[in-house]
Amino acid sequence: MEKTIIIKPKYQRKNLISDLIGITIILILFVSVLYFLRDALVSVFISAFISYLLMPVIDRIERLGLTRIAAVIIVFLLICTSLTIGVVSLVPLLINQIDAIQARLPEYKEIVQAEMFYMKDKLYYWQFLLQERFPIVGEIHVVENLLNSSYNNFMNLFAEGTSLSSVFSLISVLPLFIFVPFITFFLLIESRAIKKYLVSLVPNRYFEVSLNLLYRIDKQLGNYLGGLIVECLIIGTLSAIGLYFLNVRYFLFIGIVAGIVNVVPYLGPLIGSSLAIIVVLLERGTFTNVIQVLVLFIAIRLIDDLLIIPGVISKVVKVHPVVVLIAILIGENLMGILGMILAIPIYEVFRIILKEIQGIIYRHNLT
Amino acid sequence: MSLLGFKEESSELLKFLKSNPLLKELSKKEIRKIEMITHLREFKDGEVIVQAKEPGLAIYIIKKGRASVALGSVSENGKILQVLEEGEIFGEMSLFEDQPRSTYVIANGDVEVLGIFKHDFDALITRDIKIGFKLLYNIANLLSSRLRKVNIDLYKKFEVEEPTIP
Repeated sequence: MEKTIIIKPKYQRKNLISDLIGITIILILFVSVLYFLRDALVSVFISAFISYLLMPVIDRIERLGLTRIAAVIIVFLLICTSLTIGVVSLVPLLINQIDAIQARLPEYKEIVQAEMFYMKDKLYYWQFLLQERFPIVGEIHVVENLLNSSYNNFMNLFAEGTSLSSVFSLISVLPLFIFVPFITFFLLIESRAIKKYLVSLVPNRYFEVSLNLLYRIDKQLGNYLGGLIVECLIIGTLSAIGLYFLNVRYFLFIGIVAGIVNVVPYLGPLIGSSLAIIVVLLERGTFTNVIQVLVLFIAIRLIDDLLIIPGVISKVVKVHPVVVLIAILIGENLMGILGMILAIPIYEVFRIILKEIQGIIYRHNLT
Repeated sequence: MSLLGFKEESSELLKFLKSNPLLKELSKKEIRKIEMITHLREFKDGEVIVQAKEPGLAIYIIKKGRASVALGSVSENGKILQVLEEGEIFGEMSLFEDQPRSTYVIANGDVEVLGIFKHDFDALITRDIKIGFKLLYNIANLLSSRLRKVNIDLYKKFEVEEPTIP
């Protein structure tokens, strides 16, 4: 038996920089392709997201001794049953509320119009006062510009032909209802094979690192998303119940929206509470009503910050609020609402990847 | 049929795993669970399978070919400690301690290995205590026989007579 061995130069791990550049280029290309095909891939994104959420449940059922296909079918049947129960019990009430909003849109339009005319008069009066001291104010048409843009924005909301049913147009979401369950079903059945296939594409020298990276991303995202869903459910339910007791119209609709928008940190709760206040104002509510709604949302916020977040998503890494806001703004800029929702999970994925690369560089410098 | 033609498992692989000492006493169903977390990797002659000083994150079973366990640095000649044959296992220490790899393992000719990621292994033995007990027992056996071999080598090195059982 030979007593010594020399590691061939091509297998010596000295070409770290070129490897890193290569990996970065591949990642950028991959992300760019996903970005440019984002509209076509919406069904795949949603399916991947749903399968990711359902995976732990399927694994658990499979462990009881069932085959994977049986586990997936059971979960699909359970989802269908709960959706049917939800549709039967909650949707008629929700449709009632949406119909009521639609029926009252012309009335709301008049209220907003009247308020805007009142504001316009006030603003012109202030402009007149200012113009006396600073003549330049009159020349730059501040009030006209401001009013025109905001008035147009508001009126667009009430424009003829715009109705809530057209926003949730069946034609635009119908393909999703067909494709998403279909793709989700196959992703769930083939998840292990897909993971194995993806890992098999990784060069041998990064085999363990890539598995570790997937494990850490999975752990972090699993904690974050699981916690977020529980948080949204609690916030949505609390908002709907609170608004019901405050006699706010469309409490169910606002509660559902508040729960959904809660996925966007900081801005979500603001949107939820603003929506409730707007409804109270449009319904000619009193100042006390507005205060009551405000107190309700502040109380929910406190429950969230003091009880839900520490209890449910305490494992999630704390991200600095400024970083969260920047990530959300970039997400919004790139992919709109979906981008705002995905901003934090994507930020987390990048953070873990960068930390792993940092570890590789550190170890490389040591050897 | 499998989506995109991904090959998830093969009877040949299951047969190989069934005959491996690491999976002794495991039922067919239990071996199938192990198979789900294995990754088949192919290494060319001279390629580094396990790098010394890197974090150990996987255990390997040689499916085809041979691999050398070596000490030393990449720029110098590594000293070969042992040549591992088909069916043998390496990297098992990584399952129990968060320490960097202590040796290199280098492909001796073209090699096929089955890698099992540490955290997948941990999750499996925590979930299924029966599998966990059998696997850990088999690994303890393996470590014990390796320790015995080191002891024998030390006896030889210091030229001390080995104790014999009466």
